[in-house]
Amino acid sequence: MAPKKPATAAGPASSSATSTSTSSTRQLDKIALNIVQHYQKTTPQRTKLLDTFMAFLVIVGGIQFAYCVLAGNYPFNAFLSGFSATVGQFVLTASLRIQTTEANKSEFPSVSPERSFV
Amino acid sequence: MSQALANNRLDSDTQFYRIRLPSPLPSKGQQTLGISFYYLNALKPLPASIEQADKQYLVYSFSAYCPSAYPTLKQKTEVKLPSSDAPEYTKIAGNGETKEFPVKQGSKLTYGPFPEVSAGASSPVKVRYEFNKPVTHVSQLERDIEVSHWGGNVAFEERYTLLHYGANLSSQFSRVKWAQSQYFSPQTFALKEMKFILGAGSKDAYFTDVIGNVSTSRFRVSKREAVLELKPRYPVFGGWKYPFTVGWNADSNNYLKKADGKFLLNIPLIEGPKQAEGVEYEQVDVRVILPEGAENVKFYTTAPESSITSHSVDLVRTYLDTVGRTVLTIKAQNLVDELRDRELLVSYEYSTAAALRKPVVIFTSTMAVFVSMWLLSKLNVSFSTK
Amino acid sequence: MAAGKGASSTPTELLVSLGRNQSTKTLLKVIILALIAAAAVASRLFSVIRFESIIHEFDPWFNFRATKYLVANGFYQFWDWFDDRTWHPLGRVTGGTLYPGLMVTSGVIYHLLRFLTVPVDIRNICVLLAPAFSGLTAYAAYLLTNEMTTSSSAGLLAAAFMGITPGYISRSVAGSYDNEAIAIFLLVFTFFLWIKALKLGSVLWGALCALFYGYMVASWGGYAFITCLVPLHAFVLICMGRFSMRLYVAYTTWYALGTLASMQIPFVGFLPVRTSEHMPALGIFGFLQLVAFLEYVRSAIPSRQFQTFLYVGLGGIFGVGLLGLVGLTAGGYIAPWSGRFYSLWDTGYAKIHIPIIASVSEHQPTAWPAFFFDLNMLIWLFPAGVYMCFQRLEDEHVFIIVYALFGSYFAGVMVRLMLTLTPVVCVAAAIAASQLLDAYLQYKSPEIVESKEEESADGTPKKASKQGSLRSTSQPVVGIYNVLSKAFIAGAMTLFLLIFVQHCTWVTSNAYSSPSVVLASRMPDGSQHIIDDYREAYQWLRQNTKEDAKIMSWWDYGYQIGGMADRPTLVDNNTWNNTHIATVGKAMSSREEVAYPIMRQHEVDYVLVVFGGLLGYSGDDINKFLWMVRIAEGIWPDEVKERDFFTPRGEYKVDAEASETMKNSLMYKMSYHNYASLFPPGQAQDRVRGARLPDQSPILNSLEEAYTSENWIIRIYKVKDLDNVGRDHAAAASFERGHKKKKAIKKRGPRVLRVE
Repeated sequence: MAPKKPATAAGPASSSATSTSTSSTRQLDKIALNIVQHYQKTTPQRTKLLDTFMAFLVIVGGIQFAYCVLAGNYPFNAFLSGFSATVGQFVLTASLRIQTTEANKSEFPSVSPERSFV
Repeated sequence: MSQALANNRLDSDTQFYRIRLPSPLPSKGQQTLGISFYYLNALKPLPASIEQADKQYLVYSFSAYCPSAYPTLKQKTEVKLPSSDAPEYTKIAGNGETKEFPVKQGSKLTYGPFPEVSAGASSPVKVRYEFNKPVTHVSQLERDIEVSHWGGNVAFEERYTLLHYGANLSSQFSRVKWAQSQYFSPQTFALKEMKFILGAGSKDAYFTDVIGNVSTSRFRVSKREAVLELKPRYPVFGGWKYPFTVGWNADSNNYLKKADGKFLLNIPLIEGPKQAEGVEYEQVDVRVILPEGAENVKFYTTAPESSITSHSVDLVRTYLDTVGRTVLTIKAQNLVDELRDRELLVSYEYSTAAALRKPVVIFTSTMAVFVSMWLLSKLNVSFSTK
Repeated sequence: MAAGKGASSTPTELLVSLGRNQSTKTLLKVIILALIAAAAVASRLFSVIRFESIIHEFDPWFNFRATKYLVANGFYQFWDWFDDRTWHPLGRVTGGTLYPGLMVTSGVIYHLLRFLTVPVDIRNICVLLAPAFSGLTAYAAYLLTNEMTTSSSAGLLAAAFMGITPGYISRSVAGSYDNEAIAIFLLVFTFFLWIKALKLGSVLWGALCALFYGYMVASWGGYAFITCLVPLHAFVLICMGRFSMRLYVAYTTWYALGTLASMQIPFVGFLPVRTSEHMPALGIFGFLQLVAFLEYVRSAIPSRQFQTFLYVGLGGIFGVGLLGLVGLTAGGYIAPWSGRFYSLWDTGYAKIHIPIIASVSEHQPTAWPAFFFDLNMLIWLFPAGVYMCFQRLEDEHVFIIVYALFGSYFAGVMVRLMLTLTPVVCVAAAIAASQLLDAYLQYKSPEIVESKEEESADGTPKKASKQGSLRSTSQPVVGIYNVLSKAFIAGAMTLFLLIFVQHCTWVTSNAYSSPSVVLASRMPDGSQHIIDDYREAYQWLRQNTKEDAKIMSWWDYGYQIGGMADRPTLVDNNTWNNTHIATVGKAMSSREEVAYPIMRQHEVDYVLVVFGGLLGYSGDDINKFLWMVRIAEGIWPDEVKERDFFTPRGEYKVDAEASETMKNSLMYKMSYHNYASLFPPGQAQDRVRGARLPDQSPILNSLEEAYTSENWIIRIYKVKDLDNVGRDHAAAASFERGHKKKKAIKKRGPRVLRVE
């Protein structure tokens, strides 16, 4: 129900690249294509704006994590604060996105879709 | 009518006082003057440290001649000791039929009579005598008296810093010996009990120290007086210290009178423990906390004027005060046990409007809170969703 | 106590007739809750009334001291507080090794009252903080229960139970100024906020939950219970196929903000990303992202494709995650479980590996009667309540079930964790009790009941439908609608509730209201006699020793010495350095010749021991002595051996048969020094251990008795300085004794003089 674009970008790509080889590769490609199509079709323009922001957060978080792995975590609290800021921002934006999605209206009756944009 | 001279220095050995006679003394006339004064910190234990069960001996050094700024024709000094056991005292050459002074009669030592002595002469002598009682010294006493018109109550609280200036223990304190001596010979130089005699109608007495209530106290009330008997947590030996706090409440009718719009508060200046051996107070701070809005505060005390060092009237804010209570602070020093009946009279003006201030302030502020809460609850801060 | 009864009678006719309209109901509820809070506070004041406003036990004395420091020096000083008056000569970074929530709470209250010009002593705030918060806990229990059931009587019952149940009172009587005092309120309230957030899927409630979670982390080490229970609840929900977007929103909000909040506490620091206790929460956080993503994918593609996707994706990620966790743990990035945590799974673990944890009585496994003692009738209502939760099984009921399971387990393992079980017991028992009462206290006959249920049907659809189905299966008018059965059940419940109140009062009054600093005994004439030896000795230390005289004692008394005597100590109840404690244990359990250099090295001026032999006070140092030996043995197995302290027959004795090692140990000598001389010859007796002691008291050479309290409970020894002419202490002391003897002989006559 909940569309989460950044994961679409990262998740299946990595798993398909690593774990499968022959016929299932084609199948996974198809799945990925389906997901992308579905996303394009059902997501309102304004929600896509949120998704862009989330994608940005994933990239920033990814860079920080890569730095931590490659160059060491010397100022550990600096890394931690930076990383948890992106993660926290990501999940909070995701929550907002979930709440405002039309498909989830039944779960969040009191939340108006305008909440994130007013 | 005596008056301390302005050029007296407190740290100098000699203090001068001017004495004004009620009527001028005619030539060759006679006038008898009684002058009494007290010395603090005048007694030293010798030996300075003794065993727990030993007897304590004190040394008193003084001059056999009376300190005087005039030539003295005839004088004699009597020393009354608490016991007849005085193993050492300075002997000086006598005159007349007595070969040497002092003459000892029971517990009394008499130096003199001496012939004419020039002004300012002194003859240092020492007396060492048995004193198997505590040498109690209060280095600081803070006494608060809080007057409440609404409650009809006068609350007293006294904080003592009590020291024992007697002989120290030469070896460490032994509980076995102490328990045995308690049983066989209760007389000791350790301070183990104090008795406060409070005014009639005193109630709710308490005895605490820095870590809480001291359970070894008794408070007995009779028609005429109330007695607070305290036992320190541990027997206080020489060189030991025991700070504590006592407090009690009393009906304000016993202390407060109203006369033509003025209130007159009559309280003892100090009400320290009543000990047979006496107590000395080095520094005494008496704070009289009057109700909020009391004005025109004046005081008078029958204690020696020379012992009052300073006084002031300030404001202090407690218990939901808005402007603060009027506080009269009197600082005194070098007081002794014998001055415990001396009165302190405080007069002040206190209007009905001032008495009503607090209830009104509390009522209106509570109402204001409720009203603002109600207003806030009426406020609509939600988004309109349409 | 009236409130407990008031709560139980709320659903009766009184409310039915009176509370037709909503505002009367609300007013009644407010009044009842206020009465419950008042009862909760009142039942905790036994010790204040019986004794005085005093801080209890051991740990509260530290908290009290820290609070005074905070009030005197301000927050930032407190944050950076390095305390050189404990753990001499190491000191303790106190500001960074405590949970500041409690002190800051009291500090805020203190300054607030000061601002309102109400001069309340900080001690009184500290003493009354726990009762005040118990009132709030009762309210929090009411809120939590209201989330579980539609019956408003359940919430009120839960509040009443929470207010007076001994399991909670045990840690929250007036004067018990410990972290638990506010932590239980925070625990219950955080759970309430979590349920609320989960139900509504609201970021706001989730953030509030995180806020109170942060407060909880700042207050009590038991926050790990929340850290584990909330993810567990989420995990169980996912496994039940109940993943919802509400869960995602609530959990991720709570975790992201709560973890940040928790890392602000210096004592916690990086633990949330470093230790295994916190890994479930992190794991579930990641897992939720995955599940949410899968949910999206499932909505996007046909189900056959989704299956393949699921197997491949999930398998891969799970494998990577597990490998990562194992790798990080092995590499030392994530600390493995701590010892205290292991002892939760294996109750024998602590005894073998970490005697210092096992030596604390509250870390022992719970005895069975303790459950009944602390919870009384709630303990049998509790399973019924959990069963009710199974019947409805909404998300929030799953929480109660999970909480009940884990709470019960932990309460069985460690006595002090009874405290975390108590809230769920109260909630579940209240649900069960209110179900019973609601069913049997319907005053009207069934026809009218039906119409009334129709009325309330819009508000409470579930209950109405359930009752409806129940009614259709059973025949009307007989069964539960019979007046007799109604009267019987209602009467029995009333009786149980009354007995419960009576039991709670009795337990509180007799078991949990002793300050333990002050002991009470009865005089022959029935009047109360107070044994105040602890404070007597502490006050003596405070007034008559040097300001920086170091006191060595067993760690139990460290906080009290710091708080009451205001003197530096070697070890205290913050047992952070096992070696240092073992050093003290070694000094206590060794011969004087071994102990003296240790004491010199640590600049010890006085040694304090607790001795109950005269009074029959069993919590004394000789009874704790074996723990000292064991802890010392853990570090110096060659020098201290537990076996040596037993008689050849394996008995622990203090009389003439005691082993040589025992008799020569410093602790033994200090305890019995000069004790026999208090008795007539041959009568010296230790009243705790019922042992007859030898007439010859042990001889101390390197210490001298400095002070002994009135009832001998506290004995303080002064460590002698080095001898002036360089002899060892034994030689010097025997010379002293010999010298004295000679002196005595000398007096008898000159003959001896000539011989010499």
